[in-house]
Amino acid sequence: MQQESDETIAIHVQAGDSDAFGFLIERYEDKLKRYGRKFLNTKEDVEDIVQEVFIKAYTHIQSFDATQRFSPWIYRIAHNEFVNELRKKTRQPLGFFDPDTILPFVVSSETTDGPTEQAELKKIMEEFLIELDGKYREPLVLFFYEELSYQDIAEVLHIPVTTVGVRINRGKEKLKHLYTKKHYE
Amino acid sequence: MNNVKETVLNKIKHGDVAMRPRWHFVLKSFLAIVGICILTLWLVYLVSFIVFALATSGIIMIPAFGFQGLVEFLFALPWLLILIAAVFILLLEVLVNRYSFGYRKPLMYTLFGIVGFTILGTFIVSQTGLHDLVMQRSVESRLPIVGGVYKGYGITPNERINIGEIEIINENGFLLDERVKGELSVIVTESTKKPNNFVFQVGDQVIVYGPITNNEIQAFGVKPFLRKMFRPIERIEKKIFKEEDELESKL
Repeated sequence: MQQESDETIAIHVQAGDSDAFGFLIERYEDKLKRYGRKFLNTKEDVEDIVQEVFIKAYTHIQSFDATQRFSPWIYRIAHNEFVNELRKKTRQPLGFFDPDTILPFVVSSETTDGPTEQAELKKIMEEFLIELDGKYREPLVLFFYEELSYQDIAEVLHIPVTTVGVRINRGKEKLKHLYTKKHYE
Repeated sequence: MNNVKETVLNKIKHGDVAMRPRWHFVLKSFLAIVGICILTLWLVYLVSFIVFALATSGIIMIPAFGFQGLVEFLFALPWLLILIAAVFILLLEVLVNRYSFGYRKPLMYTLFGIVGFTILGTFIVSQTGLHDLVMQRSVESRLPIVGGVYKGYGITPNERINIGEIEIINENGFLLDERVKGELSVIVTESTKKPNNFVFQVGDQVIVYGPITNNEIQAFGVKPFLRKMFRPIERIEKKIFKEEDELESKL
């Protein structure tokens, strides 16, 4: 089972092998906890929320289409849970339509930053991620920490791929701006 | 076994957490698609009705009578129906964006898609003559609730919009048999806006825009009314009786 893909394991779970679900928990628990901590920007333990994510994933597993990738599917459940948690804490209103998703943007290719630049950016992120708006913070976390592709992030956030590119680029610019402001002004 | 894994698997084993069956999700998707279809059909019906009502009531023609006509047009628009249609579009946008074919594209594209489909649907409905049929039944008082809506938006008299048939042409203008208000004298002056080379003839269906004082319309504009003219049943009966009386007196 350990050699099998997420999608194959999910098929086993769908067929009634609930123990197989344990392998999926093993593969995603740490990733989802890290994603939760970064996105919610909390030092508190996100264990309860992640546990809820896995319970939701199990109850909804029959809605998973095994011809698609499992990773964006479970991250989508996690995204919804984290957003709900964030709303409870910050009492943010429901935002149906974000301006970034209304207009078409030129397709921006995935980042061409080299390893040094990426490492530097991660360092800046560690320091300033907290100050970024959630809509920029989340795609940055999914891209740089969870290493999801733009396509997968689009599936997780339910936004066009071009919007993912726009948010990541704007997020990076904002991070650089915050860094320059703090260290050079 | 770590804490999360252990807790979740224990809950599954003890039956505290149960997998929802596949049919639950199939049914949910089916109902959502049915919902989208029903909402789309309602939207097309509503928008086609708005267009029909604007045309039948003559409101759509009054911007051609100058600035006053344009202002009157804006006030006479069925804003409540337009607001309901906008809410329907918004709801459809939200529903469509739950699916990958919706959220993968910018909102503007899906919005254009919905509006485009509505325009196409409106055109198709207008070609079927559905609203004409319902309106006909409405004026014959055969549709209690729907009939009220159709008559309300389609032929309820507007103070300045007059639609009817030319009965007699005289030196001041003509006598109009207005479909709801009855006989009105229309005063046509040089400042009255009308199509070039337009010559009034008895029996012509026209729309006259202008204020009424003592059964006289000071016409700001006159245009031929080329659509089917609906009269309320009382007016149809009155017209038939009048024609019968005229025939009897001739005999």
